[in-house]
Formats: sequence, structure tokens, C-alpha cells
Amino acid sequence: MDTTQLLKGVLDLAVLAVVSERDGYGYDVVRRLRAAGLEDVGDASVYGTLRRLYAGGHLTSYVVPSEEGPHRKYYAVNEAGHALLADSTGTWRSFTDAMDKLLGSEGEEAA
Amino acid sequence: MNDTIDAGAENQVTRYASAVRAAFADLPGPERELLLEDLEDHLAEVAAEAGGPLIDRLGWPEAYAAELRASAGLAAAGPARRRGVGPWLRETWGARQLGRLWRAASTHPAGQAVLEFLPELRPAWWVLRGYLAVQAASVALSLLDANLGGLSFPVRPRARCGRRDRAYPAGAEAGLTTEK
Repeated sequence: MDTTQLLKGVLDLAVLAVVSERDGYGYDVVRRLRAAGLEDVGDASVYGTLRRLYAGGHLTSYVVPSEEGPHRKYYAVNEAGHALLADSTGTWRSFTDAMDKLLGSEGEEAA
Repeated sequence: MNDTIDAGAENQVTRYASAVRAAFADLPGPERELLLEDLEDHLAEVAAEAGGPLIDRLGWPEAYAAELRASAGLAAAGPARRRGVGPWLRETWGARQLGRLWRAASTHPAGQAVLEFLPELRPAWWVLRGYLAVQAASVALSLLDANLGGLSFPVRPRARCGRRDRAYPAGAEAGLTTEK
């Protein structure tokens, strides 16, 4: 199954989860999503999602100066972002529960 | 900026970045800057890692731009726009307020439904523009008539109606929907 299609639907949730765990800048969020197992996540998708969540008031940002590299724009989840994360997590859980039930017996047969 | 990047990689970053930026030429300056402000830093960081040319790692710049645009919730880019009052208007205060409203609407499910419907209204917008042009022309003519007394013009200029020969993509389908 093409995971990029699945990712599109849950990238907001994945990005919020990663940033709520620890503030991060764009590429840092990309790396952490990949390290968590979402290897197919696109760089540009993550950057765009961060921008959209920020524009939508779910993230705040601040610039961290760096001596050797460029200054980096870090994102943090604010109150509205945490509320969205909680809400989306609930949606995700009920969705995956339904899918698990649907696939349960067939999944075991296939395995 | 970063000593660890050699000149070749830096050149590669510059070329890739300018190709991505070109795909956002239709956006007003401030919006474009907000979207692309750390593009070069991102590309430089990817280029500094081992793993081959940027195009192998990130795909073509045009695809990168399309992905960024879609995930940021922006409509797909149209064909090269005619320069005119449009870009200027978009930079004005009123347009910025609209932009703010747009962003607020695009994060709300009901707002998204409305935004997805907006491109459908384009033909109506062109018709309205044609109509307004006709009205403006007749007002101008009646003023001229009034000023010049008996001198009248036999030729009424044809109103410049909206040209509809250009294909528009159905912009909204590229936007990622935020399921809440």
C-alpha cells in the first residue's frame, strides 16, 4: 500500500506529536519523523505542514541563533495545538480501532 | 555561511532554491518569504549530509514546490500570471486582511469547504469584471458628452471583457485537507 497517501491524512497529527514531545526546527522534525518509522515522509510536506499549523495558530515559533550554522526557526506547540493534538489523537484511535476490528481476523490469517 | 559545505554543494543549493522560489512567483512577497524563509538552510543541511545530489534526495525542485504548496494549504499554482494591478492589489492592506481571513478559514473545516468552492466562482468573477468595464466606459462617455456639449462620439469602445481562453487548474484539489 502506498504510504504517502496515508501520510497525507495524518501528517498534521504526526508533526504535532513530534513537536509536542520537544520543540524543533523544520529538518529536525523531518529527521525525528523518519526515526520514528515514517521513512516516506517528504521534506517539503513537513515544512509546509509546519507553516500551515503555525499560520493556523497551533504552533508558535522562535529563532535560535547558532554560532557555526544558520539561525534556526524552532516551533513549539501552543495551547490550541495541544487541544488539536488531543482531538486528532481521539479521532485517530477510534479510526484505527475500527480498522483493526475490520482487518483483525483476516490480518491473522494472512500473517 | 557554513564552512562545511563546499562550493559545489553551495552552487547546487542556490540553483535548487531558485527553481523552487520561481514556482512561488505568484504569491505576494510577505507570504512567499514566510513560506520559503528557511529553504536555503534546509537545502544546505540536506546537501551537507552524505547521500548524493539534492535532486536524488528531494526530487525535482518543481515537485518539491508543489508538495510544499499543497501541504501548506495553498492552491496549486496557475499558469504565469499577467502582471497588472492584481499583484499590486494583493500587497495592499485590504488584501492582507483577506489573506489573514483566508488563513483563519483554511484551518476550520467549514472554512475549508468554502475555500474549496471559491475556484468555482472564477467564471462569475470574469463576467463581473466585464460588466464593470462596460459600466465604467459608459460613465466615462457620459462625462465626455457632458463636457463637450454637442460633440458626441459615434464609436462606443467595446468593453474589455475578461479573457477566458486560459486554462485554470482546479486549484483547491491540491490542498491537503486537515481532518479534525
